[in-house]
Amino acid sequence: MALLEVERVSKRFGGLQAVNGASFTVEEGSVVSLIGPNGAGKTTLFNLVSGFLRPDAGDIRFQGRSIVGLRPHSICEMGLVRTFQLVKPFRHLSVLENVMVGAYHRVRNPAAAADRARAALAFVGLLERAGMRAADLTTSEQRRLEVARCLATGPRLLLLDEVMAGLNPTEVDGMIGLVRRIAAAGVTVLLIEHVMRAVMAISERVVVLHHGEIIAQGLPQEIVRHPKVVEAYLGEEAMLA
Amino acid sequence: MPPWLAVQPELAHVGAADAQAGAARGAVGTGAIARWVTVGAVLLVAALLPQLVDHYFLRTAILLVYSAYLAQCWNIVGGYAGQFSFGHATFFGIGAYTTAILFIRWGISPWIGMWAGALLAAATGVFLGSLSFRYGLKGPYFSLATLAFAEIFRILALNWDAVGGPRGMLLPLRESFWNYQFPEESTYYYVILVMLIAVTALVAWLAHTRWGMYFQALREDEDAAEALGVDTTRHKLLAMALSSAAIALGGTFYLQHMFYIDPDLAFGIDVSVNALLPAIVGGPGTVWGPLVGALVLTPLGEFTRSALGGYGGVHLMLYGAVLITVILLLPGGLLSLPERWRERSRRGGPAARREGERGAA
Repeated sequence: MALLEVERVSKRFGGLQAVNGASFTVEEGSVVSLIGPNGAGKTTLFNLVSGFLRPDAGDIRFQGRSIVGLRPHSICEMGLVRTFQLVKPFRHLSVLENVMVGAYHRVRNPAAAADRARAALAFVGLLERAGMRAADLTTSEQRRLEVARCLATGPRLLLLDEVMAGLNPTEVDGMIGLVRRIAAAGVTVLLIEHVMRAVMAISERVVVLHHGEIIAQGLPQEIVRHPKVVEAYLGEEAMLA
Repeated sequence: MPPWLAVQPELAHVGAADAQAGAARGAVGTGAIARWVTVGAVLLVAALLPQLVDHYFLRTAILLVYSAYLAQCWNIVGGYAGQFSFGHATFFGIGAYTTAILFIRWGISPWIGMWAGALLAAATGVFLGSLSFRYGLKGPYFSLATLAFAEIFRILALNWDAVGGPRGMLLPLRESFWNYQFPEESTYYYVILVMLIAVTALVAWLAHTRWGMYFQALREDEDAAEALGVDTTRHKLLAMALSSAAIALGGTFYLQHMFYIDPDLAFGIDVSVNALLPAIVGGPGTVWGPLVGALVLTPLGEFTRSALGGYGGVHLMLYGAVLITVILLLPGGLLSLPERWRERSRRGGPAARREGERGAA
């Protein structure tokens, strides 16, 4: 049984079929990338899996249990946590407090939550920023903060929505290293990514979404040569970068 | 232990950072001492005040403390949880009316009646909150809904003969401590002072608990909070219940101090505005904001009332102007001023303009 099973899931917004009968699985302990041109429906799929949207049809199972209709906080409870493409820091709270919100999910006591939050901050390399206001962090730091908050909840499956976006090459390398360490620590990772260098470097499997449909999935090396994928990305230089 | 915590090399420098933080805390220590000395001095003056001043001044002091109390109650749901209630008169009125009915009809002591009122107000808060949040009312829409609820209660009270309709209810004079009726004005002062200290202590404590952190998280970003496992609806209702119960106790105080309550005094929009204004002016979502706001607004109100007393409602226009100015120019309230100045001097320029949108509707 796969950790996450997405089965013939569809979602329509008015006249737009954002996701159309998408099926894929994520095995425990793997790193899977979800790629596709802009507007392919990747973030919609994330919203469906994390409970922010309800699918029109199909089923989503996490650890064998259907999670369709559960609210995001209940899904988080089960160990499935996500980040957001547009970072959403709690701006007026300190960096430490931001992560404590995630940590409180597992511990009740403020001191224990602070310890847990510090450990998560250390893991992503933000411990020196613990006392700063989240609003004052750089974009790259805010992305790592998002990851730290998620880690503090103690997830089994982490959904990362374009955590490399807007980062410079050095920062991308740092983030690749971070994702690897998260995977090494036993957390399964599903990520939406545009930076192909990162996709190739970290993913064991790649799922390609185009116009809401999954057109290919497999090993990264196979995917870049897949005729349907090349066709979908035609004209998009980024693919080969 | 969660798997990622088992990765030890990353945690090696946690201890060092803790030591640093400890040193920083030591440095802050003198600041903390200064703060507690200030708090102690203010408390001492507050406690001795009735011995030092005349009757008029004492009444103004009661008004100030009472106004800070209402604002601190509002602050729980409006400031910390960011749910901008414009209808806290609902819960204030429920407190006052419940106490009055229980005392007049059945002779039940207001000391008991006030808790009955608080419970009823909390239940009403949860009910009205769940109605609003179920239909996803946020920001100004939530404010309008709460405003409408208060108006519904006002009209209900106005048309309900058993509670006196438009005539309201007059408490029979039976002076005794047990009846929450005191011969000395100073006793009322001490009662509301203790209430203010209690609710402020509650807020200060709450801010650092899991609940308080969840309130602030859902205020800052509801989706992010939800994604991190915060049941946002449940915690909004919790904040609503706490805030409603607390302000209901303020309703009882008002009743016992004035010996009288009617639909306008209980459920009128003035009450709702008086509850939110000091918090917003002082600094919503901060422990001391409501107190600072009341400290500024009460004397201002008293002054305009006496200087321009002939023109009814001028002080309300002034309040309106103050509210608009603060929301536009100083969304963090007066308490955010020092931080702004610090930021400005640190950045060596007027760069601190992106001060947050906290609390602003």
